[in-house]
Amino acid sequence: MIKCPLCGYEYNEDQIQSVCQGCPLHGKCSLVKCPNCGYEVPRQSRLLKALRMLRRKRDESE
Amino acid sequence: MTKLKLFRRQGTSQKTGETEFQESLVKIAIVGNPNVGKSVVFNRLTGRHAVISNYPGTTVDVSRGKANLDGRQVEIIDTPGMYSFLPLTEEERVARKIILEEEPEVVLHVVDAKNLERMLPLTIQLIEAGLPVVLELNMMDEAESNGLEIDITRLEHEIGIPVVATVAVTGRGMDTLWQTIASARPPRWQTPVQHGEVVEAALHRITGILRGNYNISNRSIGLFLLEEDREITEHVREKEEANFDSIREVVIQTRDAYSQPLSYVITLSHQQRVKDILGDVIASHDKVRQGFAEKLSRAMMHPLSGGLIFLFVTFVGLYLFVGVFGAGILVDFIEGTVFGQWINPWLTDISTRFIPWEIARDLLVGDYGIFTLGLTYAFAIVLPIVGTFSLVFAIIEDSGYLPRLAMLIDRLFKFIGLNGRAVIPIVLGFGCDTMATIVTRTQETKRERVITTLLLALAIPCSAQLGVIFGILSGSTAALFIWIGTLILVFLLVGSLAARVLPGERASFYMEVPPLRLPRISNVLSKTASRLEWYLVEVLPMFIIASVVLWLGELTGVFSYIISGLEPVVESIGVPGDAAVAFFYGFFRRDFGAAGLYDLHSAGILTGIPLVVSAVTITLFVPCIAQFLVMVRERGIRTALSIALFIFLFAFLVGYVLNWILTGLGVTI
Repeated sequence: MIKCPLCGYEYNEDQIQSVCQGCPLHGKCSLVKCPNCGYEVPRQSRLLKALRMLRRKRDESE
Repeated sequence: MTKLKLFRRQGTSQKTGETEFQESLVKIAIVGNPNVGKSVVFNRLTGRHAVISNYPGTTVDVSRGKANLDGRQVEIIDTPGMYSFLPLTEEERVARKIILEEEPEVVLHVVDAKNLERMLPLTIQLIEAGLPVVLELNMMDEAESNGLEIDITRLEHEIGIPVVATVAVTGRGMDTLWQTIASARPPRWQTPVQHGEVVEAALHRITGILRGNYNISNRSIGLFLLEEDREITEHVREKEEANFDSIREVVIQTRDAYSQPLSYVITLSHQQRVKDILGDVIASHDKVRQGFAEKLSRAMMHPLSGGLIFLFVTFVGLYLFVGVFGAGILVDFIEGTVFGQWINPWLTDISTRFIPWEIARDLLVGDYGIFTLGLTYAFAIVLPIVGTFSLVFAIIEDSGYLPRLAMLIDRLFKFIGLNGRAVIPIVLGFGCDTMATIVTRTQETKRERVITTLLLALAIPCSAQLGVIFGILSGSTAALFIWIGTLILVFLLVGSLAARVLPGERASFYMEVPPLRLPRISNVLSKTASRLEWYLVEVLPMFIIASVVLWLGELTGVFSYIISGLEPVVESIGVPGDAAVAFFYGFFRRDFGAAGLYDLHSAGILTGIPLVVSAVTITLFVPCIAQFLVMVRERGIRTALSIALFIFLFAFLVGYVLNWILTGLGVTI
């Protein structure tokens, strides 16, 4: 779940697609748009995601 | 527009007996704001057996399920999130349609017990409409851990409907809720709030005129008419026929008696009533902490203190951190030492040795080379500034200051006669004007869309440009304040002129304001990293493309032709002709143009008054290519070209006047 920093609305990836339909990029960019107010935030960093996964795997193996 | 079917509700008049009402119970509608746990309540009541479908004619999902209530099967409807009974969004329209057309025998209003002040106005509206409301205070555990003590009996007494406290996720209070629904009584027509003498007199006159049968109270119909709700007005026009003109006359007279829209006046009285009720109902064990957060929150939205707080945030966050540290210390090191002394000389040396063709060398390390211009600007000038800016912006987002800033800007908008709904695209514009221009389509009228598009293209610098401008002006506080003052003046002047030239209806702006909180370091770092990654993935290629286009332009001579055309225009505002190149860069990306000025400033070519004048002009100067293309797509080629031409001329006019004033006054910067 993503929490919009502007209006506080909580939404998931599925809801983003519906609000991105009017955009020329059709949701293929690195931003996610709040379905409630339209505020955009960057998607979670892939690098951070990868680092977190690595850390989790390391913790599990230990 | 789909017509509303408003019929007299069966079994809800005062004469109807309790037994008849309970036997007729077949439908329960769950309503409430988004994120209050409606779906959890729905799952608890139906056991997760739901059919989800689009509401006819819309893309809005509605969940329906069945439940057993004392041996009777009832239908439970999970309606889309609504903030107010006066709808602004499609979701709210659908939620209201369900209540009005499907006539549920119980309207279960689920609220977040921590945020009663924000949520009870909808309860008041539902009661005022004469609907059979049961109020569920959900998330009671969180309210209690926040130190809130809610007197349920007193609240029931104050609003005259059943109130149940629950924690839907754990099931606490759900049995009591079920019993309350099963024994719910038909609604009593109530007047839970007084709207002031003028509105009450108007309601009295309207309800006296109404002859049709409606399935909500005539008082509520009167309120919708005064608030000029399109669907209800259209329905009443058909139903009342000859009487409608008299009703319209009352609406116009009442509207003229107020300077604010009636929807705003009525909302205020709902909010005031809720405050009065809660004063006796809620006790807080954490008054000192809550009191400070609440006071700070209000101060942030007050025109005077909010303005001072905004200046403080701008000074510390943007000027000192982004400007002095990011654009000063960091950029000096990365541009001057890392790129200036190490990377670029090394790349030039390698190119000279291994690439025999001058054209190819120029493409990589020439004046407009991919490495020496595109990547140097991207990594050495813009990246450190975007990085520090993203960090500050993440703190602002995580603290909850952003929605308060939106409310503050809304007040400024009302002052100059603009629509409050333009707040969201304007706030977004500080991130990226191109995307903000797409968001203007959420505004209701063409007038609003055109004004907001114009203001975004003219007076709202995007985050990257803002950072670079702060960097350029960080050496002089006077220069920074002249830049800010001029932009605010231009925004107010163009905004109010445009609002007068393009007259039309003003709409109110409502926004949920979440509580203030201390930013969490992990959130701030994660958001900053995400923004930097976005910058590198999406913006960096633009810098490279711009370098290639400039290289091509130089190769073909087109570039020199355009620059020589721009030079006299730039010189006319007292800025050295060399800056024409930076203005040309501005066509590609706003921050690219600002980075060009930064380069000239670092080389000592651009200082003093010309520096401020060029910073102001390039901020106002034409939108970047991406923004212009979106403007064409959203507003049409004619409007987009008119806006771009107006901005081009206006930006240089402002630069000319500013230069004339500053030079005439003998200002030293």
